[in-house]
Amino acid sequence: MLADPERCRETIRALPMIADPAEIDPDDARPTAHVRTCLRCQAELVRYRTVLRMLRQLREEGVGVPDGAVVEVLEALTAAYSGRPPGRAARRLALVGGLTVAAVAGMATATVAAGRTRAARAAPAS
Amino acid sequence: MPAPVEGGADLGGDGPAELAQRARRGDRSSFDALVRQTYGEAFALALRMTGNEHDARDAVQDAYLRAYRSIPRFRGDAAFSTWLHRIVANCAATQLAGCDRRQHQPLDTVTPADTEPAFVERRHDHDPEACSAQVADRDRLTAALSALPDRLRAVVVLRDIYDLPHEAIAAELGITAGAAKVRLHRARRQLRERLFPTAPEAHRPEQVARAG
Repeated sequence: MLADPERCRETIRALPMIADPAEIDPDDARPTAHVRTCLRCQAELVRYRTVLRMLRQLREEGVGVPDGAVVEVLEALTAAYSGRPPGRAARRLALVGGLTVAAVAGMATATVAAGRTRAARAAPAS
Repeated sequence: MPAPVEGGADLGGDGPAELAQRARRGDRSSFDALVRQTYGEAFALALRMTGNEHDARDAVQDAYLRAYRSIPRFRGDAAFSTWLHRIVANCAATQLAGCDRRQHQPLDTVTPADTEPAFVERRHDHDPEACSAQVADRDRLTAALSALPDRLRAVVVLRDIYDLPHEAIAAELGITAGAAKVRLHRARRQLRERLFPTAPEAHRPEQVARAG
């Protein structure tokens, strides 16, 4: 019995979803029926199921918590409890404030410089 | 549930459900204890979604601040960790949306580890060789996840690691359930291609097993 290449291609396209029993479309039994009869599609299904199994195992594995990360959150919460902006927000606020002050200072300098230029041009004419 | 981490003492070994109930009534020390108990899991979710520590820390901090503001509305119908995960996922998605500047490693950028043999079924948990191979597999999977585009990684993490339904994923990421399924399909396909770097061999007529 020879595999139907077109059916294999269709099945391969569907495998990322039907490898997960929760995702199988009950109204379309063709891909699963084909997999039962095709060794190559079965091998591909095993690869997808291995990926899914490894992903699910990751849930049980923790990751290292960076030093100071919990304290940072607790400090942000303490600030929130007292109505102050949390640390990171305060840092952003300081940055925005600094940029605003710099922009205002720049505009003021430009205005003064423009005034002096105008005065200098006007002086020889008079 | 992970062990309490740095930052202070736990409240007499109370579980998240008890602490959440007290936090709902305004007990801040209970909320702080919840943070210590649940930070590890929340950080793991955020790290897996964002792919980098800096964004993950920001997302988790935002999530706890939102959780603190929202805890009076937490009814306890679901586990506190489930409720918190939804918030973390949402904050991580927001973080990702603001971080399009970040570059991801293209799939065709192959590192030496990528050329190693792919996963092999191993069931000997007490075999040191098998254990170290499992660690290597996990590292390869983590690398493959990190290499996914942000929008694909977020979906596959929420669905295949944290088992959220498509509708919840769509809600947290601000997309339709259909789009979430499409992204999941692409993400799984890219992970499979990266972890088993061989082309599917199903395109040639071959002898096959008999049905049944």
